[in-house]
Amino acid sequence: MTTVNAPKISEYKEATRIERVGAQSHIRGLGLDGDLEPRNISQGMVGQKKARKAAGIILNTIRAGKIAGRSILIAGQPGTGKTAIAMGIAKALGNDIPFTAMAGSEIFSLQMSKTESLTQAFRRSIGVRIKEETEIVEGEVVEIEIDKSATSGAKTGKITLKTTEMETIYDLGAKMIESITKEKITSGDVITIDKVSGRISKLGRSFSKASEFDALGPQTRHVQCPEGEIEKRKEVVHTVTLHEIDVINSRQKGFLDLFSGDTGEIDSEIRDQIDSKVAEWKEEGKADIVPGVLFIDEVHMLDIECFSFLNRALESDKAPIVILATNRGITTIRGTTYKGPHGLPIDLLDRCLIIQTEPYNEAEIRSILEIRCEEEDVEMTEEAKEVLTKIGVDTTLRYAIQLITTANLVAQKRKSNEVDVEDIRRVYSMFIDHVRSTQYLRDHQAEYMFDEYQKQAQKMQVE
Amino acid sequence: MQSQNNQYLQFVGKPHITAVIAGGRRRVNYTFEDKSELVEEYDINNHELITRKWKKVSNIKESQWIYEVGEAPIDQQSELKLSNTNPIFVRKDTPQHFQYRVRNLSYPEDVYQLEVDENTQEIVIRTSNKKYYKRFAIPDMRRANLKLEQGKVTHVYKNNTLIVSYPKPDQILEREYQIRQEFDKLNKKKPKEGDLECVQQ
Repeated sequence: MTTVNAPKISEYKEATRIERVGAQSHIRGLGLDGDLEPRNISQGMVGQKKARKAAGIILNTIRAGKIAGRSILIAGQPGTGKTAIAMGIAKALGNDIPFTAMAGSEIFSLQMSKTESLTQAFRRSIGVRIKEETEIVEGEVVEIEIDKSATSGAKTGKITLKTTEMETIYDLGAKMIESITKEKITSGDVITIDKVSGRISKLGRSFSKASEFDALGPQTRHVQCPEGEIEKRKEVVHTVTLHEIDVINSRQKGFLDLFSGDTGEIDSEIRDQIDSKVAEWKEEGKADIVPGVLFIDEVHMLDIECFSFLNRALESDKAPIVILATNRGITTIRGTTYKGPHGLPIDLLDRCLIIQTEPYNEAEIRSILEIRCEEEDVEMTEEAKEVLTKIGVDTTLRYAIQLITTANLVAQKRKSNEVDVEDIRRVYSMFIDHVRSTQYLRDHQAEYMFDEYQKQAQKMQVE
Repeated sequence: MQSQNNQYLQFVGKPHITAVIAGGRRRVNYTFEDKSELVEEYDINNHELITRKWKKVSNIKESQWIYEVGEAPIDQQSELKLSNTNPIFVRKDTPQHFQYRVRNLSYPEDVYQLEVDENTQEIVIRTSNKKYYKRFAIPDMRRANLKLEQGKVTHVYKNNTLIVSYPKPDQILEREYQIRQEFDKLNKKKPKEGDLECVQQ
């Protein structure tokens, strides 16, 4: 009889939550310099200079906010950085400007008609900037004390904030404790807490604590310790989207629907009312309209009805800037039997400015792989990088990127911190890319179920 | 600083006034043209002002009461609340003075410095040990367009409480006298809980 050892419960350390790394999470911006010239490797973007430069011009058009309803189409082969450019634009615009990203197929929903989905997507991309006075708490953090109760597991905490003139201690509720842990707030940070919404913003690190650490994160800013009172009334600028205003007004307790995501169809009368209200606020100076960006990826999945709707919607003066992306060539336009370039009808294409993306060359692939290695926290030897680059050139960029973490796991199994050529070779043989897969299928077709070739052969035999 | 102006909520146009006896106090409700409200509660017998609170109507979110005199009820559910070790700042006038009390202050008497900031028309409480700081204006003076004068602010420290006083100018004393007269007249009718009264402004 084997005895089963219970795993030792190791000390639970309150480590900061590790955030999952996404395919585009290394993109921080478009990587352009002051003259809108793209730097070769910057802010996570590599190469693709023409497209990035064009995107930079679009960025400035968006920021100026004066031109509504422009549309841009980013077209290129798979794995050439289309989504990455859109992400770059989103990050470069910042949090102020609403950026809605969606995939073409999301339009099709059982709960809403296609035009309703599109209208909602449009209205999600137009923000209304409202100036309001709220009470905020602003100060430098002196200390944070968080206790976990042994009996109930509930967390309680206190935070001491100070300014140049005073100090105050606050009791923290559970949600506040979570925000503080998530934002990794420590002693010496200068923070602002909105009392009403509970939102915490880190303004930077206090100058007085600047000498404590030599190495700080890339985003660290040093600010003065705030002066005066800790609790202040400040004018805060909220940005809500038109869609959110629609939902709140469409029914009782409508704001709860915003959280559940189930908004359903909204009457056009309500929308008209909201439009006139917002125009009124604009007149009174209470609010500003901020046209944002709607990014529709895989736009070839939309059908002809959606395209006609888009044509019309783009002409309104309230339309956001629409960025479309597709990797299709000359394909059938869904909903018709006609073919069109990129799967889009020519009248829509006419309204778009088209940015082409091109496949990367070997040096660029190598840089991208290096950036991804850093992002995924993987160390790799030079030879391994060479091999991986070659794989990326021969097969596809995405396949090479996916090998990074898998190779890392294989390397860890043989107790090494660095990924070497043998690890790459192993994962290359374990996971095949689509080219080899297709080849394999061609060779071994007959052995697969429901094989067309087999049926054909059987049919011929019967006859 | 610029946003402080909004705090000193002014009478906007002619308000609609109602008064009610509730909870042993006389509650006067002013409703203004822009739908904002002012509620004042006076002690029934000596007509002392116990509470004064304002509510401005907001388009986007729920409005909240802003307490000018008296303490707002503490929101137990709030995620961020002042720890009970902190000093508490309260206004409670006497017949001759505007009076502000800061309770729970445990620092020695010589630590406290008071002055009038004439630019912002505020009274400032400083502490030499940098533990407590408060700036506040007297809304009644603002509304009457009277200036705060340096040297008129006095303070006393006892029982862990700092009491700051500023003498009420004649104009304000006049008005309060008139209000007391008005309430005396209403009291003659021997009002009971829940009675509605007519108030002339």
